[in-house]
Amino acid sequence: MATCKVCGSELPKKAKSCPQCGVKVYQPPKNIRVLAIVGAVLAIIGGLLPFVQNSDIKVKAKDCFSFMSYLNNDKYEFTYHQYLWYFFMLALVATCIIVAAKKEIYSIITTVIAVVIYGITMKDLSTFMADPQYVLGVGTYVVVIGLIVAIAGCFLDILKFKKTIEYDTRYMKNHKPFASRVYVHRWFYLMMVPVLIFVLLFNYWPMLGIRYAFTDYIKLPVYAGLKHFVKMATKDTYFWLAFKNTLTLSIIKLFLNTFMAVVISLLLHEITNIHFKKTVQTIIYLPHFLSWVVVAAIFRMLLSTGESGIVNQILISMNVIEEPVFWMGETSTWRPVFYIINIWKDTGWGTILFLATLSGISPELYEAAQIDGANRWNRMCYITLPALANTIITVFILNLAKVMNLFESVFVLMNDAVIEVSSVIQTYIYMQSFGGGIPNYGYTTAVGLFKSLVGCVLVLACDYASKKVRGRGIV
Amino acid sequence: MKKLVSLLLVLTLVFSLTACGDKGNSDPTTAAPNDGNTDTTTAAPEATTVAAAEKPAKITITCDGTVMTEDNAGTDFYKQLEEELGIELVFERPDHAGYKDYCATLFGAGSDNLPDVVLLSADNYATYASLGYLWDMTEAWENSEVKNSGRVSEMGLELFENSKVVGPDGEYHLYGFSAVQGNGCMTYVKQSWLDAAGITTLPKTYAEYYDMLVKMKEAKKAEFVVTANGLIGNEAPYINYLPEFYQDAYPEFYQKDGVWVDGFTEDAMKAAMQRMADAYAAGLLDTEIINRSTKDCRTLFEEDKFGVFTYWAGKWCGNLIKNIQTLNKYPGAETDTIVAMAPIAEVGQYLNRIAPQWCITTNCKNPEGVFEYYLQKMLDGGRAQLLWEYGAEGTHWSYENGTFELKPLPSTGNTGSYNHIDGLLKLGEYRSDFNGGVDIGLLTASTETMVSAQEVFNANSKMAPSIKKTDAVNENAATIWTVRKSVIADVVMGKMTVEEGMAKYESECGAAVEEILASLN
Repeated sequence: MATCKVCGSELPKKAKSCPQCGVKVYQPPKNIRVLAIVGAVLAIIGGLLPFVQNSDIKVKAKDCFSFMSYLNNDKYEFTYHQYLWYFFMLALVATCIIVAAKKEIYSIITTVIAVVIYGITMKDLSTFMADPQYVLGVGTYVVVIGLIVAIAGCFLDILKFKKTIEYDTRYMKNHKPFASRVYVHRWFYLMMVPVLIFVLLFNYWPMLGIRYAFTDYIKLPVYAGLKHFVKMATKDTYFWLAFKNTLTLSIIKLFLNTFMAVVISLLLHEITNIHFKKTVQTIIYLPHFLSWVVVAAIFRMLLSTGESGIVNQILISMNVIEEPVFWMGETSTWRPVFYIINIWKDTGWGTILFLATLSGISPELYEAAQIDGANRWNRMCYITLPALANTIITVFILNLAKVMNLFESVFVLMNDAVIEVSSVIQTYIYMQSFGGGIPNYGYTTAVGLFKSLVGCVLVLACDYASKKVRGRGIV
Repeated sequence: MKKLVSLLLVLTLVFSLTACGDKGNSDPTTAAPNDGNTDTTTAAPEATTVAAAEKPAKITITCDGTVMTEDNAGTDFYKQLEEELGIELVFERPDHAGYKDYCATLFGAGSDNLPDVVLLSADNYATYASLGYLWDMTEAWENSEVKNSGRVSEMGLELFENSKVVGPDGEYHLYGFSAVQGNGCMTYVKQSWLDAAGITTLPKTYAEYYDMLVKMKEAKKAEFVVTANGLIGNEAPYINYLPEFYQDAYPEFYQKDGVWVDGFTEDAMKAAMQRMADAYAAGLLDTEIINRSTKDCRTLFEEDKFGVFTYWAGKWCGNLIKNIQTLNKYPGAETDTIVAMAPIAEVGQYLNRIAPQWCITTNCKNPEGVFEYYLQKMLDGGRAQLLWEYGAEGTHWSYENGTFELKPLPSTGNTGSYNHIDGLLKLGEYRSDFNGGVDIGLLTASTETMVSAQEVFNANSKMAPSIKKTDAVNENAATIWTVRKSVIADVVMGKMTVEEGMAKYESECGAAVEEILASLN
């Protein structure tokens, strides 16, 4: 949300002047910075792809060369390229940061550094081009296009659209120089340092590992270009099965859990005896704190076909079924059981936000409605649910961004008989890593990268949806 | 206040980062294995004779829970072994249940992070040997004092020979050392179930075996008569928990008349799946067999929920009887017993798996020294072997006035039985100058039942098929095993016929199988 630079109040969308102080608001043309950043990101992606590759389609995915072809490759002698790759990536990330910080003119320097590094690499790789067997790889095109777009974006931003409006600096909030502001708030910056280092070290540094998605990593990482992505897309049926199952299980679970949490919240909200309400709340929260391993053991026992299987015993005694059903071993029953277990475990915890929202609804609204003759159902339809709608959407959107992170609950409940309906991306990665043979970390990283990309797309979609629904994003 | 909070946060960061770093090596029992080998010598790696090896000052070791765990005072064992060997030993002890995954992660991190010595299952042993992570100890073994001492049995020498696997050069070499035979599973039948079914003679053929199961189910009104840890095992030899059903089938790549074949596609495997499907449909096999762990099976067996259980030979025979009688979970349990069954005619012989192997990694700077002064000492026929067999003296056992006594284990309070080396499975005898060559604890640690069960197994077992790993095997094994397990489960549970199952396997794994067979042959 944009704010007024003079009074600091929030500005409505597309406002031409601040509703608070009346100052004209200048909104610079958009999308230009995005263009520069898109270019840099394209170049980053291109830096992972093959620059030179064999023209024979059968070995195209394996016989290729890039920054990372420095290990165990008889044909490749440029060991310093691994360091060039780091500098190349660093330069492009710096471009993105500088552009985002609105210092576009400096970003040209870093982008040019990336161009030079790429030029050195391509000069080395030109020895391969002498061999008619080799042609330019997809990485070359992506990098070139990316770098052109990045530089063009920077220039456009600087030359064409850089406009400023004059402010009376006496009324400006932050008219001090940057260094001075940093000094004034130095203790806050110092407090931020640990978190910043942690984030860089544990969140961003490991991201360099995505390069292994482009390698065969059994003993040492050997550059393999797009081999794993080709395998994923064409050969591995279990990968797509896992992908489909991940989306199906997660999204249905999300709908059911959210729905049940809302229903239980509404029921709890109707309870007037405070002790009873708190007791019920405590009981329904408890399953959330149980380990999934324990939950699986409990439900295996309850759903057993043997004497301990209370569910089967009850259903048989009620003449619903004649023979015990192996609920966890049938493809037709495994998913419903999975959803029920998830509802049992997580619904209670999910009610917390809804109950907090419900407790914030003014009792006067209910009193007024009662005076107007509204019954309990009407009060729920016209007061409670509308008040809850924003929270429901928020919770739903936030959880939608996490749908790819499904592992533990499935892993402890699945078995060989239900793989086709239960295998999800994360269990697939686990199976590929530890399920036999020796793990090819290159392949599992590629699958993980794909999962992350889908997750990223979902987050962006949620952000967009959130902006539409709530007027502000979630990222 | 702000300054104080800032400083505290910065200090927290510093300490956290320190904690993320090297574990250090001050404590030999908990230090990280990647300290590297601090060899005090300059012995050349190419030295070929054991006599040329120098004694290492420190050895880093990674092993599973088959070595006395630290909650059972394993540190006392380390200490006494260190004193005996005169070497600093740094043990890394990951959780036993997750040991396979731990090894995958350890080797995946590259050879620079490997310990000097690592204990590997037969599958992993073959895999990592083929990738060149392990030191070739063939020559060291041939020239070793242990091999030439005459204390290793003929079977032991044969097992060492069978433990040779393919190395990175495509040739068979010895990359691992084991002080025990791998052992295997044999079928136990509860006496009370035999009595209830009116059976006096143990079955000798599959028809008799099946008939026994049917009679037992009727007599005991049981939900099922046989269960196991899944329909197929997770590691070689895979079929050992249901030998009567698998018989001559072996659902993995194995060498047949000098040619590598995919056992899963053979007629024997089709027949095996059909047998299991029939038994499942008849209620003889546990409905929930695919969900059972080995612990579940033992518990159900102790609770008298089923009567025929295929489990480890030797010590476990005694342990099962002891648990049934002492836990006393059903009427008559205190007097009930189990009978070890010889393999039926169709099975021929039980499978003796390749034992977990102690391997020296290529990261070890002085492998000859580690072999001579650490590995082969497991079978030195003296005190080191005794420590490996029973644990620390005074803590796990005592020997006074000719009486050997096993002490209670700290974690459970129950009397222990053995450390890493099971006396019934050991490959080397004691030296005549050490307690007169007698295994002083064997008769205390093992009952007559255990000894006789082991004898039955030894007399009726053969080595499991050898394992060969290639790049193609390593790349496709996970997917192939997923499909195999899924097909077996679906066929046995009646969701598809054997033919449909095989068609599924062919369509999903056919190309990969061809690639693997081409690489193996």
